[in-house]
Amino acid sequence: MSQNVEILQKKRTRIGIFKFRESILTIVIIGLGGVLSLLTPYFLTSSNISAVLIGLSAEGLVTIGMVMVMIAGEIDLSVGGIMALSSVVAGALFLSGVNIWLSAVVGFVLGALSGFVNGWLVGTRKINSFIITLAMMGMTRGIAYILTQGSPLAIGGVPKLFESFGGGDILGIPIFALIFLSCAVVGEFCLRKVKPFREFYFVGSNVTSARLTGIDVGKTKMRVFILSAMLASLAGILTLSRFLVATPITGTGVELRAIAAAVIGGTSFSGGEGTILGAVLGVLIVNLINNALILLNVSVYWQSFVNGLLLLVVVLIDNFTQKRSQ
Amino acid sequence: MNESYFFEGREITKTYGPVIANYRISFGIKRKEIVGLVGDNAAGKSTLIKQIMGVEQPDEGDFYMDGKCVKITSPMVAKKLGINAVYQELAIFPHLSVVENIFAGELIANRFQILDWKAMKAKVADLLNRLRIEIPLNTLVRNLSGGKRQEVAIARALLHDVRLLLMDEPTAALSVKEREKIFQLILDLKTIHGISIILVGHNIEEVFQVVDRFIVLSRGRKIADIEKSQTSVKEIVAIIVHGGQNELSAI
Repeated sequence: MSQNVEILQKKRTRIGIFKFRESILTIVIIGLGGVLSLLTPYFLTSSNISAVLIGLSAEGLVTIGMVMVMIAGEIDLSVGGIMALSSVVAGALFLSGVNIWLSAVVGFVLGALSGFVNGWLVGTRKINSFIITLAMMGMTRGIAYILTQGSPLAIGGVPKLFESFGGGDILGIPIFALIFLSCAVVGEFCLRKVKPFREFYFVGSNVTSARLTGIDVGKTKMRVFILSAMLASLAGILTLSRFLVATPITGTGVELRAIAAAVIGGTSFSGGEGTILGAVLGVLIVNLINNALILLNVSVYWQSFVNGLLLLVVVLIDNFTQKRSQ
Repeated sequence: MNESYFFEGREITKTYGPVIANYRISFGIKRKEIVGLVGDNAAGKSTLIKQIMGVEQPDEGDFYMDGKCVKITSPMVAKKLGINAVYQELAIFPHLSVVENIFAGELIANRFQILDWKAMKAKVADLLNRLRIEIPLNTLVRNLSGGKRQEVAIARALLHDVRLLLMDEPTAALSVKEREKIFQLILDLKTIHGISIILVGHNIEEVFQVVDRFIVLSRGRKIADIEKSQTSVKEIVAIIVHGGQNELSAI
């Protein structure tokens, strides 16, 4: 007994909130921030910081869901479409005379329902999630295009309170970013300590064993797709509140940016591992680099190339270190 | 049947369409006994194991625990009866810790579903200690050797009180040294912990070291049931190779 307990205690000191990878990412972020503040006086201004924060919040919310889906061994390509669907449905309902809060709730529920359909088809019908969510991506964005006929809907005259969720701030910190960060903290806590969330890791790590040990794999997968869709819908509604425009191009390409951030943060593409903390740091790095490019007057056309290069470098480092440890 | 058996199968028959996987197999297991379940490929060993574990149900025949007929309709029922299995394919979660692997599917949580890591760690530390297995609790299982992984798999099967442990090729993927350790663990389970074991194995010479008795299956039928003291490795191999033809002379 004493031996095992000793080992247990020795190990505990080493396993804190930050794992090795997350520590490295944090150092990179601090380094990047340091270099940027030296290169340009604009970086450390509160307006620039809050612009960066508000700019990454929608993507960040979607990434939280993506990490959970990937931990469970699946993929969700429909998050961008769901963002557009929830935001356009809410906007269109408001313009037809419905109360904005009720409109937002309906938009949110519809988005979550799309996630339920994803989860039901992947979990109980056992169809590949790449295909199902690809179909759902087309359908949700399609509905957004049909409802708007392709042109953005401006929603004027919404209550100030609704506007403040996407555009307001508390002590200089954007409320949108605060919502994203609270979701990240709660999500990380749940993944570590709450049973129905922790089971995502079991299902993603070895789905056959998960079944043998009595975990309800179908329900677990359904749960994760509903969560992902709920976070995407929330991102869609908050984006509507930020710009006060409902457009069918909301969230275009966000699914791929979320996957990239998750992978940079250490989430495995084959399931079973990943943390929200790592993915949030991944989102931060990508957005800081994009901010740097803007502040340093590099043409915006370089962004996509640099983001791709960053992902490639991270994956190559992973590949290299994994081969060495084997 | 024999009164010293605490677990019995009587006339167990299982068919898959036209294939007769098990045909009227009757057997019994005594307390503190290791029984080697052997036979050629497709002899029906795995089918029999699956039925004892409740993964499949027999078409005909019944199982008896302490003389009472029991319907083992699911692995959960089997576990409640004190039957558990260690599967061939090392059914483990490589990305998760030793503690989580052992508690897989039955993580301890309070009524708000918040996990109680302290309680789980304490239980696992105690369990591993009783089994004399030394593995750091927070290590990820993918960082363990094959032998250690199998120890984790065995520990998992013993988390709750077990009277009958089913082991399907527990040493198939291991090195010679690791196999010896696992066999020692199997012997300890019997002598120290009083657990009965049904051991499915291919390598008769190895299985011979630890079992007390052999049950030989061939094409779905039981063709021999011999105490180890009454036989030899050679004879068991001969029975397996010649199948039913040697049945009479062997018994």
